[in-house]
Amino acid sequence: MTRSPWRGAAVAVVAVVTLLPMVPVVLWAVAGAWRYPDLLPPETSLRGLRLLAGDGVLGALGTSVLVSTSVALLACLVGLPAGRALGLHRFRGRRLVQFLLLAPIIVPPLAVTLGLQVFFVRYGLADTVGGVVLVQLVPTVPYAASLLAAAHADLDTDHERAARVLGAGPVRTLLHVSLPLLRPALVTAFLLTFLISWSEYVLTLLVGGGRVTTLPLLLFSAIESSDRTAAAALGLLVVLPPVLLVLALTRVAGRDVAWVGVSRA
Amino acid sequence: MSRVRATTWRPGPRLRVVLLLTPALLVVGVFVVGGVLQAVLQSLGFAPVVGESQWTLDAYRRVVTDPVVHDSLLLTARVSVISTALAAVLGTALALLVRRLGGRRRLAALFHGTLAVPHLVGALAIGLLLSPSGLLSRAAYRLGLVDSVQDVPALTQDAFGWGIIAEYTWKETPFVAVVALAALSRRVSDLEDVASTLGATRWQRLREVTLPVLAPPVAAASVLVLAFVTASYEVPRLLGRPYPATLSVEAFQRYRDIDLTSRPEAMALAVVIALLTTLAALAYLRLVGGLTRRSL
Amino acid sequence: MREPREPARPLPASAPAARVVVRDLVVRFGGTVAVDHLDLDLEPGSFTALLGPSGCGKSTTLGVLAGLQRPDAGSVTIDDVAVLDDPPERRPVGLVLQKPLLFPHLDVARNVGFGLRMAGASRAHERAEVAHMLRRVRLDDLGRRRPHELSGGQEQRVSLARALLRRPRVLLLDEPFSQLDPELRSEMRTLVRRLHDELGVTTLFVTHDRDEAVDVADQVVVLDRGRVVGGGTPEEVYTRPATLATARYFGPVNELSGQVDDGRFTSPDGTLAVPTDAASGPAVLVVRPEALSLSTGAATAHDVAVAVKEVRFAGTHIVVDTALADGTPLRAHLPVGSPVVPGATARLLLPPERCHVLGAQR
Repeated sequence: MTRSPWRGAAVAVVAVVTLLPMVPVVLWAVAGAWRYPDLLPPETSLRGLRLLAGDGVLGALGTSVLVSTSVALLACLVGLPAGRALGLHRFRGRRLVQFLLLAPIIVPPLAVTLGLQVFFVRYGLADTVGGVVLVQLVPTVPYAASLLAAAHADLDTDHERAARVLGAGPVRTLLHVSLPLLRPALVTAFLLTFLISWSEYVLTLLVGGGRVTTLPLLLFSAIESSDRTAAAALGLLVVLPPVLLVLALTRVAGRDVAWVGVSRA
Repeated sequence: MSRVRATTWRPGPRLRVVLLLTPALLVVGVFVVGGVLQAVLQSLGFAPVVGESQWTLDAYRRVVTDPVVHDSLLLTARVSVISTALAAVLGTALALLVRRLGGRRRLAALFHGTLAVPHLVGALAIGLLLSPSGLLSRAAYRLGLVDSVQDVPALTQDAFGWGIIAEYTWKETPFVAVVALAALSRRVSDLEDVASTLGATRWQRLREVTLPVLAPPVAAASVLVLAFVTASYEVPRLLGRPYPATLSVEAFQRYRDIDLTSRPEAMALAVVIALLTTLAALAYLRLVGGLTRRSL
Repeated sequence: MREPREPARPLPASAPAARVVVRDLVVRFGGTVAVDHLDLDLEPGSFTALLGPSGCGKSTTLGVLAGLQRPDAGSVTIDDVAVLDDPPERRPVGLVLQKPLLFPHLDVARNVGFGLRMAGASRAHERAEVAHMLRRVRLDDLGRRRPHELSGGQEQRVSLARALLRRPRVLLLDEPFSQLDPELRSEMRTLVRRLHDELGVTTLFVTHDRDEAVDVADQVVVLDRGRVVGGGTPEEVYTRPATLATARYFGPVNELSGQVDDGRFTSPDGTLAVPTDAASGPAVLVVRPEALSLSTGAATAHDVAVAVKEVRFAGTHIVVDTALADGTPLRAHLPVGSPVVPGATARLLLPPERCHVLGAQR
């Protein structure tokens, strides 16, 4: 590995290019009147940030947190047994099941939801938080299942067997042996599905019918409006939890993060 | 007095697998398969809402002959392919660069951070950066490259789709880079070392060892990217023009059309997108399945 | 920055084997010294085993010779040409490692032909050479197979073929058979030996297996903690080790301390006297358990009185642990059925020709 003086420069260039698009967002969020062609906002203002404390935003924030947490919990709940089956057991049709479970990532959610909308309306799930949570299981369960399948494949079942031999029943074994062993993967799966749900726009729009307002929906209208400061401020609010969570995720899961695990599924 | 404990019934192995898979398969089966089926049915005329169902291929006929759809397909193909290609090439180059530089840990964290940014925010960011009154344009003005707002070439809401391509590239390059970095394991370095003892120069090692070993995971990641960008909604909606719009945006517009006869067309378009991305998925499985046996 | 040179040209069909000279090699990893002022002389066409326990620096030394490891000090010359500034691709060295490391995306034929391809040889030339080499390693029909379809032994044979195709002047092997079953290991040793004899390439074989080293090499160099602690033919190293460490490395050995005066080693109680050419002064006499036998007849200067402590059956012999009068342990491998009983006394014969006296050392 060469330690040339270009090293620091190259790292800096990569970092700058990667971070560049976020710069105007930060600037606009704290800008007062900022007209063309000023390169930097001549005056700063807290208007944007104060908007974030408004009722509408707080409500949307609450809804987002509620929806995303529920989705993450459910996705992991559903993905855990599926992951166990895929990771530990060899059975006929395993490849088919793997393909099926990947289908939701590949088949466009838009196509799926347009079709589902009819049923959601009929069963009274349209325009409800419950409906939104359910539909968001579609893009999240595959990731949870893949991650947990990989984790189970690496799992040493000897621990569970030892526990059973020592007299623990299936439930206690699950709670005290299996789950703790799977904890890093579970945390990763939770964070990842939370993230996917948090960023979701189209599905919430379609199923929620505009009644269920999550942060992305608010952000979308703000972007379409001419109020760049509001949009930027909201953008920062939307971006912050995912970025923090992912940085925490890399700490938990080490270098091999979720996306990589999925692409190997 | 001893009590004989009755053996509790435990499901056999086959049944156990079925039970374990049921919740996930329900989600996929009911929602995804059901949803797509519904879309297909509705595209063929099934209209549970309106009440009158008439089986017909009319929607497909209208969609296939519609010049707006042709332009939409062209735009979608152009934007998807270019973005994916850029992400694949840049992502691989980035991974190789980061490996040589050794600043792996910090840069990897940076890439993961970018991956976490929702596409909606990405669209906002690219818009604020590249629009005619955006940050880059202002910098160009400062540097004397342009004289007024009108002189700035349109990079967002443009006919070619540059703004959309920019956003996708910005977001997906780190994804490919992260996948490639993970594939550049210790084992690859060992293979490169062996190649060097066999007389391969640095370029030869790159061409003959590193890139072939990186090809399968990068290709697999690229297919995932392609499938995603083809079907994405928010980004082309915000960074593209109303006309021509990408397929997803077209589908959504027709769905929301007051004229309910547009709805089957929306479904037809959705089915078309689903077909395109499913083909991509089959290619993905072929690549990952077939090549995993051959690769590390 | 060095100016770019032309790529290495393909070597002639039988390039002369090289002389390798390593002087004063030092390699440090952080605070630890992996290779500690190592000297090595490999005659052209020789087959040398580099033997030592794990962590003794043998693999590191190989890495330096191959060009994959930069030393902190010292010199390496191949045929009197200093090579430390040359990257691996410019050195006439072939390397076979513990893991076969075959290129997963290439079939066997293209793996083996890799070196020639990199040197710019024509497809026809490459194909001919590969076919010839595959025959040499008895993998004739496996050219089209892929690495994942091969067994461990087959993979290592491909690895060997691949390294040798370029006709390197030095062949380096780093414990290449340690992952294989014992019978396979023996077959592979024979193969390497045969290839060496056919191609006449200077070979350095790194191993931690004493029997392997003794079986396959003409010369053995023993390393411990980065330093050479013994060298010579396998027989010399085994029966006349230069240091206690070397002696111990080849298995449990009896050590009797005493004094050398005027060409004679005497034990402290004076009952044992063995002629030696070691220098006068305090010394240690080493003798292998299997060299000892039960003494019959009258006491001589070559036998000692011992108290038998323990007798164990070990298949082909019995292991008899005894102690001298001063408590020094003495172990003998005696034929099954020898009349020894724990608790009794006995006399053990130490044949002088199988004893070796070392000057006092740490």
